Amino acid sequence: MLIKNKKRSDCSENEVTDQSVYLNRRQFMKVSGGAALGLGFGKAFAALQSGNPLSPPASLQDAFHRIAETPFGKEETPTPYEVTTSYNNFYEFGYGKDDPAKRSATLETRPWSITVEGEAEVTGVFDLEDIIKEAALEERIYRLRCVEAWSMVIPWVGIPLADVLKKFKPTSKAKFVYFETLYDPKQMPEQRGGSINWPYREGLRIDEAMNPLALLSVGMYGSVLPNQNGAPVRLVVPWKYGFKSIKSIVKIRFVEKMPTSTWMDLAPNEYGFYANVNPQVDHPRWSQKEERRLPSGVIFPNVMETKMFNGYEDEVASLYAGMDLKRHF
Amino acid sequence: MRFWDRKEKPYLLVVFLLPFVWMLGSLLSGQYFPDPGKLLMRLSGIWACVFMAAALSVSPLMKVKHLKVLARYRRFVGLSAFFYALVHLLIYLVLFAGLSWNWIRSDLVEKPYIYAGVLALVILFALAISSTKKMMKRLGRHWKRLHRLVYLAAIAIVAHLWWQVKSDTSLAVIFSVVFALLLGYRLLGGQKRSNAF
Repeated sequence: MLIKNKKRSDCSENEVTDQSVYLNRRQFMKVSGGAALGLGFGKAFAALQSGNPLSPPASLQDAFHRIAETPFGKEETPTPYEVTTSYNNFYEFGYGKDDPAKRSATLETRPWSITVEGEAEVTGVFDLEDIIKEAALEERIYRLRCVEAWSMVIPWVGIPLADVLKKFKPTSKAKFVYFETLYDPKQMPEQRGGSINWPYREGLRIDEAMNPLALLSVGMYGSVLPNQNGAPVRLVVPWKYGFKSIKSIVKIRFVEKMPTSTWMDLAPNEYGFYANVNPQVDHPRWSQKEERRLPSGVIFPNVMETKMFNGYEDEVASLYAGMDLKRHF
Repeated sequence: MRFWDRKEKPYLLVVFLLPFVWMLGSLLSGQYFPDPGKLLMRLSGIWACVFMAAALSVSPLMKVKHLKVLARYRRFVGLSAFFYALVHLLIYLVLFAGLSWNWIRSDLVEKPYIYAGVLALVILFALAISSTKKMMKRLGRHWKRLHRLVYLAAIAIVAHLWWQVKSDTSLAVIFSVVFALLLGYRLLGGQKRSNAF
């Protein structure tokens, strides 16, 4: 029997839009708007409830059949698959929100290996499928809050990051973990130029990386990750702004000094190393107090209050005890 | 007095409204789904800048012999700039901030570039309501002085753009160059002040 302890971060029942209300509202807007204007809503509201159509490779069928359920986010209504796979920030494929979905077919996700190096006893090149087969996949429904003030709810499939990292036996010198995205302009066309110093880089403090919430994701909606969502393996750190959750990872390095992330490099006054979701600390150019939970309605967005650490305060606040989060933004 | 002083003006109105109709149609057909506020704020802002630039281009273009006819439509172009600026504000309030007072209030407190935009909009509003023939007569020589505020509005728009640049500066650069050329032209042609509009 599953005994559910209610955490403070869990939404209470009345905060979650009831599925039927949600669908009715869409239905209502579809009928009234469509009738008034004689316009079909087309792609906006067609088939919003369908699941992940991708199937895992034969070698991983077994692992994906045995995805363990977890209590994470059970009370949330996941954002429709069509929305989370068509509205992405993945600059390697273009700056438009729909570019990743349109242009990421060139990404070759098999075979995929991850280079592990730095302050650890076990280093080398590891095949992703071996990492997946050795671990137990679980589903976790997490809120994702983008620094641009929109948010979604995504049912990820993955392995707790700590479980993976511990296998490499980081030494006492490993104070931070550095991650790197694939660099291959043939597969990622936008890497040919632009103002970003490719590859995309991110980092976590070792205790953040070992926090039980941090997930190494290899799938979503019950199957593998679509390319535009960071296939075949990405980080998910739900208490931080979305850009911290680096996609298509090829390198993990244990380091002693705090690494510089791509966004710290691009705009150090706007993006810090921690990038924790924090409604008290606004982005220099816009407010972080509220967010638009996607999908927006036809006219009105679904605006809600942004919570400290994206609502995961109980799980992660202790990591930052005594820190001035205005300075360490 | 007829409502339209020239019979081609209703057609012109349709042309000027095309970007608006196109944006509205795309919105309602889900083209901007799932986050229409973000995209439409940018699009409506661009169209406001385009019409603003067009309004400021009329008097330099009138110097060209065959383009003198443009004078008839200058008010029309200026009103369109005001219209798109107003649409831009409404999109921010409704589609972007969802009329959430918390969201709007914290933007007002912390995002000074909003005031540059508001200043431009207030000026355009004043120019719009004083643009009728009746108001022109009533204000007399003050009318021209009042309508020189359009240059201040252009400068405020440039500030509004630069103040919020993220990583892509292309829009700010383009409109800064356009407005700088249009304002510079007037500064250099300063001896003929009376024609400076």
